[in-house]
Amino acid sequence: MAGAIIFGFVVLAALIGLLARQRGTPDLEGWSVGGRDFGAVLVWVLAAGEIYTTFTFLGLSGWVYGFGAPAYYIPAYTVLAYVISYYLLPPIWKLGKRYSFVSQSDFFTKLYDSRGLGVLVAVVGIIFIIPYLQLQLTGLGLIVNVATDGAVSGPVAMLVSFALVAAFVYSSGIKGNAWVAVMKDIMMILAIVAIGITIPYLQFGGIAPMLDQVAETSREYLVLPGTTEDQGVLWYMSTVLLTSLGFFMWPHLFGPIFTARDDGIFRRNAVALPLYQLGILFVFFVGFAALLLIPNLQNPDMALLEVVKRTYPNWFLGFVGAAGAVTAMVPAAVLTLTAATLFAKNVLQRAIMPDMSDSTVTSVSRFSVIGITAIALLFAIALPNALVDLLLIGYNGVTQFLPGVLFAILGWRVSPWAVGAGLLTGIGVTAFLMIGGMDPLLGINAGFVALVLNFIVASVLGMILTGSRPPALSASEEA
Amino acid sequence: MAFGQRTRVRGEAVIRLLGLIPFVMLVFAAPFVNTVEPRILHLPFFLAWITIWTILTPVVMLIMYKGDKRRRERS
Repeated sequence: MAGAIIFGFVVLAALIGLLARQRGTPDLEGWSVGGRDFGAVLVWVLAAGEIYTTFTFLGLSGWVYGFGAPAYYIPAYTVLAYVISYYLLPPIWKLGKRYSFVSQSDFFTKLYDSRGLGVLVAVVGIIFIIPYLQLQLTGLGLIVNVATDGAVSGPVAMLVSFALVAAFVYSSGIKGNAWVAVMKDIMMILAIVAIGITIPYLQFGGIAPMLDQVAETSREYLVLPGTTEDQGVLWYMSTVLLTSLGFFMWPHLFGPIFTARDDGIFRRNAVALPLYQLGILFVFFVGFAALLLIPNLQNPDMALLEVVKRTYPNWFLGFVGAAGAVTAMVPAAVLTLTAATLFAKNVLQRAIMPDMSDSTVTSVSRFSVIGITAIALLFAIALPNALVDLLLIGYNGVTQFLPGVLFAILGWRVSPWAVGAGLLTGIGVTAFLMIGGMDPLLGINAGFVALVLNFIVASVLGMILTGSRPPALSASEEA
Repeated sequence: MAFGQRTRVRGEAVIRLLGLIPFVMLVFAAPFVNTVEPRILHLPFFLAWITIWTILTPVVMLIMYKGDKRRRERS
């Protein structure tokens, strides 16, 4: 039963994606950034797509269940990420419009007048995207497996749904993504709000009695550092700053900025998008319910699904499982498309085969979707733990793009060598601290420490190396 | 552009600093709000604080948006 419902929704999502296809053969601008013609709704769901993901579904409730208050950083940073978008996105979009950017790497290549920096940014982006894509796959496999009581195995679910994802990304590009994202957000919010309200009522007689019980029996969960030893107030502050600043530095959130029709969309969306984060509160309720009902779970990420399983009939589990599965497919689609564009245009054409024609680049991008999906599947099924370290570093890693983006927007005269050195310093320090078990460092998030060092290296070298190149083009400059 | 006009435009740009308020409340206030009591609508105080600022941030952003729009239209 649950399996059939999930399958139905997954196929429906793929159909919506396929139907969004434009007539004729798309060019790269049409495929990657929708011809720069998206209105407020599609830009909204692409920018919000990252919030209601598999992670929110399983990971956040798992954090609440396992650690308690450190999970507060998530609603806080998502609200602030949109405040930042008010300042950051319009100038990025303007530059993109003027120079026809389709990717983050294009931005660096043009504004620093450096092919090398562009290739570096593309390669780093792809390296962090692959494990993130794998995570979506693994999450999807887990959801379907649990929701069907093991009737559908994880790998089968991953293969079927990702073949469908590859199909609609190949045919419809970012536009297919955006329309499936609309469906996903509706399902996800319905599911979260429904279970966040009804579970407390069915199990505790209401939200208030449940919250009272948590405050009585599990008080230590409700303030920092929760049940952790090292995620205290300083960790919370540095993590919220880091993740809100880094949010739009993800290549798959940076690229879709260029889909917007005009830059006013970002300002208006930035006003309302924080409200969208209220849904996260209901995930907290589910986490609290799990804490009281089923302590001692082996895998905290299973908290949400286990609670749902205990509370509802099988068909509802199917709907929640379907929302979870579609929720994995959307970010996966955007990640795949972004990696494919970066690979074909910014690595292959720029660094290896400069003679490639634009229409060939488009074809290679579209076919790369299949290759990238296959690589992620291979890792997810055969080598599930191979990329764990990369995944861990991912968010902190991509945030290291920030100095280069800021300098360019502000029109500062900085050499590409300075930005590249800062970027590599930031990623190196992040990797060293995190893999070496030194995160947090003196209570501060390791990625934040790395970002500060990155800024210092880029600024100092930037001052020394200035004059060796023309100033970066700025958004304030009139075309 | 006359000097007086420029300072006025710059003065109005101050409204763009309103976006700092959510940062102060959600990041820098953390040491002062990291408590369970007093509970608001049964929520632990810290979580209630974050929820309140999730609702108030759009209000702040709306005021900033309106002011900023007027400024941009004039310049």
